Amino acid sequence: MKRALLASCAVALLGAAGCDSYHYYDMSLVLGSTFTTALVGEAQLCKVNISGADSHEFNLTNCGVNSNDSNIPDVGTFEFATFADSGTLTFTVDAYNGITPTPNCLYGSGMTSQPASSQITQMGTITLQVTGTGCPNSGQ
Amino acid sequence: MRPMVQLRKRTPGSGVVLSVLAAVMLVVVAVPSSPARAADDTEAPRAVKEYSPQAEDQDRPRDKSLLEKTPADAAVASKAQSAEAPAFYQRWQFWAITGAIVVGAVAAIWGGETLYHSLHGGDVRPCNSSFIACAGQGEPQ
Repeated sequence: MKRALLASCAVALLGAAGCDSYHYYDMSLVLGSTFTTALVGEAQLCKVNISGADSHEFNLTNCGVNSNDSNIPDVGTFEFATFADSGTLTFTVDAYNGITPTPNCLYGSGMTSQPASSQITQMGTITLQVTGTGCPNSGQ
Repeated sequence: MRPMVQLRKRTPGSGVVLSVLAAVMLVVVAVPSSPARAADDTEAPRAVKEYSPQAEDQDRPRDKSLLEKTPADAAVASKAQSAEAPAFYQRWQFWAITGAIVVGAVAAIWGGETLYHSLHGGDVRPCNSSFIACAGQGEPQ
């Protein structure tokens, strides 16, 4: 009787605390066909925004492009870790041709949505397309 | 006027007799082997009974209430015992219990943190070196 009570308390405690587990989203960043070599060279900063089932924000210096542009158009993969296992995760990447991510320096963007599930690792692709001219003088 | 009782006149002979009698009495009293002490020598010497208070006289207690322990006696006895007993911090039991409490507290804190950490997903997996970035829950950025 006493053991059963203790066990039920432990289960209740675990249920109240909740058990989290990591889920990983490995997203490939690809520069679309609208990105010419000259425009790729202007990339100073990419801002990654995650919304929906989880929310987060981080920056990619030079949008992940190498100094010798050797990794274009497939820039590379970034991994996002979350406890979310339901709903939808929306990944938005904004490319700026200035050091500071001001709206007038925004010149490219890409977005994709990924269903959150109990799967440990999911993969996706975000393709960036040019959306504007960005800052008049890049590098500001 | 003549006195009604005529005082006797002492003669030198009566003085001698009195002196001899006094000397004999002195010898009888002073010499141990005298007939007066002979009776004492044949008997066993009596034990000298020391003074003992009535409460401790086990042979003939008269007042029973005096034999009973009083609260004052108990207090004195306990005080004497406590004065003889070592201080609590000098006992190994004290340090054993204190050590057990400290070790238990450290283990409980460590175990609780570990349990909390594991319930909240534990450690995030290491970032793949080929990735351009790793972000989100458990990551530095």
